[in-house]
Amino acid sequence: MKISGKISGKISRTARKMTLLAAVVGTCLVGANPSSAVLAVHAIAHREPTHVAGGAPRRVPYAPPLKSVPATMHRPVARPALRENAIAAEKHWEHTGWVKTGAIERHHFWLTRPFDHIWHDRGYFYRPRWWWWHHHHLWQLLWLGQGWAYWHGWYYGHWITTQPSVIVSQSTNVVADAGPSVSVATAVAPSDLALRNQALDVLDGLQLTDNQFDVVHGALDHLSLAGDPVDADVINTAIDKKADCVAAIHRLYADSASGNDEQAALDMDQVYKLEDKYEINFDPTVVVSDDARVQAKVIFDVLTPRQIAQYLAVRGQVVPDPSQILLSALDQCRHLTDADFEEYSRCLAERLVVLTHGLDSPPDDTVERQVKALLRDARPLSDEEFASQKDDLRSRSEQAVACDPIELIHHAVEWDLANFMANPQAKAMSDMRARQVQAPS
Amino acid sequence: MRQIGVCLLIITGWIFSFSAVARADGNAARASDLALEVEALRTLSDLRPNEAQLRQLRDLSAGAAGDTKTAEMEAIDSAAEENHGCDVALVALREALISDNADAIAKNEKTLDGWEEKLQVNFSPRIMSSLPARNAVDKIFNLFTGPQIANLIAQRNEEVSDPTEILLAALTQCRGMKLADFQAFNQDVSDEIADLVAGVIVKNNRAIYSKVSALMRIAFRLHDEDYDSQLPSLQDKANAITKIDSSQALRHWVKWEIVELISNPQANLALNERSSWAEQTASNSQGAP
Repeated sequence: MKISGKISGKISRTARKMTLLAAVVGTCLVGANPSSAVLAVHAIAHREPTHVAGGAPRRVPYAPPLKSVPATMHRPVARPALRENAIAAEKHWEHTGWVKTGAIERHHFWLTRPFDHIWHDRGYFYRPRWWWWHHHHLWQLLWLGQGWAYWHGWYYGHWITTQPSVIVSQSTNVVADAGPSVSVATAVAPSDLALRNQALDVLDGLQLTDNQFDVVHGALDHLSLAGDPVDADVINTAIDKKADCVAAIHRLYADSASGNDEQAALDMDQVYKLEDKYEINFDPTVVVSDDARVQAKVIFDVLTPRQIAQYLAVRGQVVPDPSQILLSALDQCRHLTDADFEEYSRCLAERLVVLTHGLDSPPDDTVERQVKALLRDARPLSDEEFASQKDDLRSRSEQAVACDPIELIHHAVEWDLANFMANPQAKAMSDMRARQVQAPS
Repeated sequence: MRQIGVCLLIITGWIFSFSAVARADGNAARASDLALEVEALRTLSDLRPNEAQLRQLRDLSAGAAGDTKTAEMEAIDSAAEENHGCDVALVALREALISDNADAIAKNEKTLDGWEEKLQVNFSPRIMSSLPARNAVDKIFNLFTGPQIANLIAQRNEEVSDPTEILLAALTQCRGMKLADFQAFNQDVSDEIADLVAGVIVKNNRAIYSKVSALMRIAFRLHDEDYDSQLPSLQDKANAITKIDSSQALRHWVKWEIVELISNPQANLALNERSSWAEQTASNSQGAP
């Protein structure tokens, strides 16, 4: 019998995170496991266009393609400008040419000559409408010298994401660790490093066999689109000026990446302390697409009972108590505006439906109806009324989201895996681990 | 006659005191009983039941105590008799488990592990599951929440096994064994796989047990050349027997842990102690300014 303080520590950490989140955004959700409810709350706080997985698309026109549909079937053909420019840009950099993986086309690019302002002004991204992507690439080229560019039709021709090569980013991190310069340390955005840390935590927690690793690789390859971290800017802005936070995230990544588990555990404690100190949750929230959900189920199906147990030992915090979430929400929802309340109740209900019924939950669900009804009942209550009715509300909450414990664990782990699949850094981290296995020296 | 009776009482008392260990609270108990109590407290510590759950557990587990292996119990008693440090470690661990002191638990577990290794004695005696315990397990299982069960699984992750993995390894491992060794090995493997695949329902359990046992016997009897040629077919059969959803296997494993808890002859004592501690903690926190 091995009694480990690690889990209880993690759970109590998560409880503290939950309290923090609840205080800040008015909900009680597991911080390490971003949910659509968090997305909604983020949207409420920042009034940004947000897509919530499983819900109707709003301002961002996004619809996750089916994995069986080839990219050519759903790519708009009328937007060749970027690709033409990419070819013309060969004089500034080299690239691998377009590589198709599943429904995604991507290429790896790297600088062939020093960066200069002429290239900046007249080069690849001269169109103002692509200003952000332009600077995103420039940032990568400037600091890393190389990166990945993706093309996908459903994003209307946008370069949807870039992932720096892991090898280069690792060397960059070494530089960042060695020097105190904040500007160098920010070479990889803190939110990206946090996403890498999340991905490594999941990968290492699963302790996959070679065959299972292939399944995860395949699942990531089949994924038509990585998720979008909706609050990355918020996190980066909050952390950017705090050298201790940046250094702590870098150290955690460096130690996790190199498999230095003991040091990584200490780093993690340090990150938690800083999160408490500055009241910031470093973990970005990633939009989980339907495709990521499908692939999460594929991965869960190949896991053995022992692996799930080991996974819970590492990431036990992913299994929350739905009735506690609901009870906390009943308290918090009383302080929201009408518009925010609608969004909040929709997302909370969706989150609880996933926990109780899994990723395949039906759209019109009893749990959803009961949760929304409870929220509506609790909303007009004053503090005194809420206190006097709390026992009754607790009992109704427990009934509304009652779930078999093992089913709950199954659903929570699958949801965590769906978040991993949606993590834009998952593929890079998976590739890195694969390389480390192939070349253990 | 009365004098003889008194003498007998004195002798009995002397024998009892010889095999008993002094607890921190001044009560006396055999080291083996203490080990059983510690085992029950470990499960309770991992499940973290609240007061209401403890009360229900006590009600549902009444009369469900099972048997233990006499030889194992005696081995613990004699080890404790010869090494006072074992008693001290057991008592300290018991106190730590009752009060949920994680650091003290880890420290005393390590000490006890050291004694186990040094004396080659298992301080976690096997407990035979009782029928009342099996019958009550579903109700008790449903008392707990997902996070509580997840914590139990997480804390004991090294004990959770994959039935397919066990059987495939055992097919190879059993070859070359002596017949007597094979029979004991076969029984252990078949029991473990049947428990994981079929759960606590006796009827299903026996069916799986028979299939596993038969496959093991085939693997045991085959000549090396035949074994090599038939290995893929044996593996297919093993996969077919042990085919089970991972969640379901975990469910069965958890239920067996609960059956073991309530079959433990010292479970009631452990539940009472844990309840007293919970009440005491609650009253202390209420009294705090």
